[in-house]
Amino acid sequence: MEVRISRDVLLNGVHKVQGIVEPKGAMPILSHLHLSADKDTICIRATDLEIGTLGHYPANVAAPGAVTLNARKLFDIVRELPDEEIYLKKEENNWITLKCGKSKFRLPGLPPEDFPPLPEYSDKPLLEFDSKILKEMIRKTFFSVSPDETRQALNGLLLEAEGDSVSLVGTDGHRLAMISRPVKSNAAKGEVLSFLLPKKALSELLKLMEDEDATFGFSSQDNHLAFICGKQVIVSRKIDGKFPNYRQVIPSDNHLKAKADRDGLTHALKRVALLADEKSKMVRFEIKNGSLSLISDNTDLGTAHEEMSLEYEGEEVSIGLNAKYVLDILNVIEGDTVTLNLKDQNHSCLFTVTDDDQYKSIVMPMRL
Amino acid sequence: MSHRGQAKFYLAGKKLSRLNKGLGLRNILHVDMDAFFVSVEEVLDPSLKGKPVIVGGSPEGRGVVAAASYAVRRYGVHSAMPIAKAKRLCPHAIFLSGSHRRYSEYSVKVFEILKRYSPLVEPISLDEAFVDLTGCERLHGPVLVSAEKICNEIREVLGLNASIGIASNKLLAKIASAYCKPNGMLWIAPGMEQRFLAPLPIRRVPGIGPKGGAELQRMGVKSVGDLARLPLELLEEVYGKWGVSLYRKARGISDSPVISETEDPRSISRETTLETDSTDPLFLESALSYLTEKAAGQLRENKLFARTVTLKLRYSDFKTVTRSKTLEMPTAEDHMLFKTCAGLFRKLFTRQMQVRLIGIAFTSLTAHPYRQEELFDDKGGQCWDGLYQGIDRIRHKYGFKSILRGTSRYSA
Repeated sequence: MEVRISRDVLLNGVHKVQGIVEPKGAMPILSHLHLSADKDTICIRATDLEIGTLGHYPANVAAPGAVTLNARKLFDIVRELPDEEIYLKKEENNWITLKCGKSKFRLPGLPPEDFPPLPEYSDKPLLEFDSKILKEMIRKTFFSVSPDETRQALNGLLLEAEGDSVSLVGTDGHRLAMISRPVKSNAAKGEVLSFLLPKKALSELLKLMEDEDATFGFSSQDNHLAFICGKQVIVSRKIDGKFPNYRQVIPSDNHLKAKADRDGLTHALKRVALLADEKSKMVRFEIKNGSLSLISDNTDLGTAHEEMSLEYEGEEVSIGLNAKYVLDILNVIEGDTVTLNLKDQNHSCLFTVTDDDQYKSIVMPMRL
Repeated sequence: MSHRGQAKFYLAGKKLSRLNKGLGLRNILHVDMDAFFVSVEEVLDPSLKGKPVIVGGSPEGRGVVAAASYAVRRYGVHSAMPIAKAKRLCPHAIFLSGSHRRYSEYSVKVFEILKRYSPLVEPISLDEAFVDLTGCERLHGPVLVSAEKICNEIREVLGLNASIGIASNKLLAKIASAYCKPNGMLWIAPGMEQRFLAPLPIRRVPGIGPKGGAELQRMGVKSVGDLARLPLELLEEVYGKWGVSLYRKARGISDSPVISETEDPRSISRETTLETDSTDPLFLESALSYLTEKAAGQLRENKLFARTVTLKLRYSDFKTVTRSKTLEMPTAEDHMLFKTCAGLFRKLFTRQMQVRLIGIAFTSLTAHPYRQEELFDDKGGQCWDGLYQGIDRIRHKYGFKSILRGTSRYSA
């Protein structure tokens, strides 16, 4: 293999896949990238066996072939190189020479044929997303995904599509966020699609979506899902497991509606949460006609109390909520106001925004 | 001068109570609030006064009575009874869901008053405490006067009634307060202990449960006086350690000190030295399960929740190892605590070493659990609450071993 490639193009390609590479795994080759050159492109591949990605980049190919290189080292080197053309050549015993300007590196590689192949994926998209919309959908639900590795089904987002509407749902068992948006669907009429998208694939996807106006195709084949955008692909194993029945926990009879200024609530809550119990982050919301009191007491740290006005008429209600869960929501929603839909102190609190009835976030209370 | 100052400090501190203990001159109060939860509700809403009030959730629910006013007790309603049954017995009762937060606020106020009388205040639960007034006579007057002052102050400041038992040790003070409830005060004067105890039924003695009581009854021991007539050798031979403690209790002897609440959260722990050293993980886990149940029961009895679980193993060579894990949420539920203990055990006990002693400790205790509710647990945490309230109720009535986890089967 012998290629010339722009430094910026290579840097971009190598940078995007760093998150997938396992620097200290049991298989040394998984800490490497696979580079293959053919015709006028170079293809960069990375995988951790759960997910894999490949991207094609324009290059001047003098001799086709393939190499593997340590992902981290390659990235560190390319990052420091001047903005000139990079020359890559495969030597004997899988060694690689890299030249750029006056710099020259000789790097050891592993046999490219040992690099695990990417699973087969379908390039026929079932759904076609506008990248802006997909990004918004992930951003508004991703925070509620469970970090608990033992709860596999909750370690990702549920994607459901029916007709020309698609929704993403995330939950960690204490809170839930869901969003629905229009989508171009190529699925058969009446078919309902339902997939679990792993967390890691989603965060890699977010990195790929820096390009604002692109279309992302979503496809499924056997045990694998793929997101395809032009010459870039992310393939991921599907999560095994059953996502809980989220529909039954979306409250329909939370008739107490309190509308608060989003900014005001965010800042007040951040202040009061400073003295909340470190672990539970419990803050008491006391809502009565026209006013909301945020209270944190009963901890060794001291007490905090803040009152703010809000639109509310109805019976007094007091509910304990994890401040972090609420702030996560306030952080991703848009608009000047947020509405808390309550039933009582024992039932979940539903957060909604005025101009978007397709976004819902639910937080379970803490028992006082 | 400095020498005298030091001597004074020495006498006012713990050493004095130890000194007096030797002489049998301690003045111990057992302060027990009357129908505490209900009384707090009455203070907050005076219109409830004298009415049949039950604290413990909605009458349609499946909870249990947490507290009942004396007006309801007449109908046979008592705490720990299922709400539905209470509703049948007294349909016109006022049911309140109650608020642990409010009760702990009032409890804090009660303890503030008690601490004004002595630095040695040992909390037993939200509504119960021992106060050691030994050596406070010159400050507050004779012990009866101080006790009355405490009673009056609690009534005037908080509007709540307390019953106080006064005696020369904790055992007698507790028996006395139970005897004079509600709104009473009883002093067992030094020298009168035996005469007071003798006619009492044995079940009045703390530590004699339903099972022990029944066994003693079979032997013809009905009153504390009967028990006091049994010689030490016989009791020790039949009941071992427990027999020795019975011998002492029947005579009103107890020298356990009043330990004031420290700033640090306390810990609750249980350990057992195995009869024979073991390498059998099944047996060891069973022992662990039993210890967990015991300690968790104690947590719930004290209305506390633990956040940290520590496992302790001592091998046959006396090498001792401990491992801890801190939970995301404080809990007092057996299944959560045992899951954590067992997890620690399985991680730690990997080599086939003979285990001599096994123990657990719960630390980072809190009375304010802030438990996060689950989205997909249909019945919610209240379901577990109901289960453990039920278990505790059964144990209260039929003894601890009347109901156990399956995993405890080899150890019970």
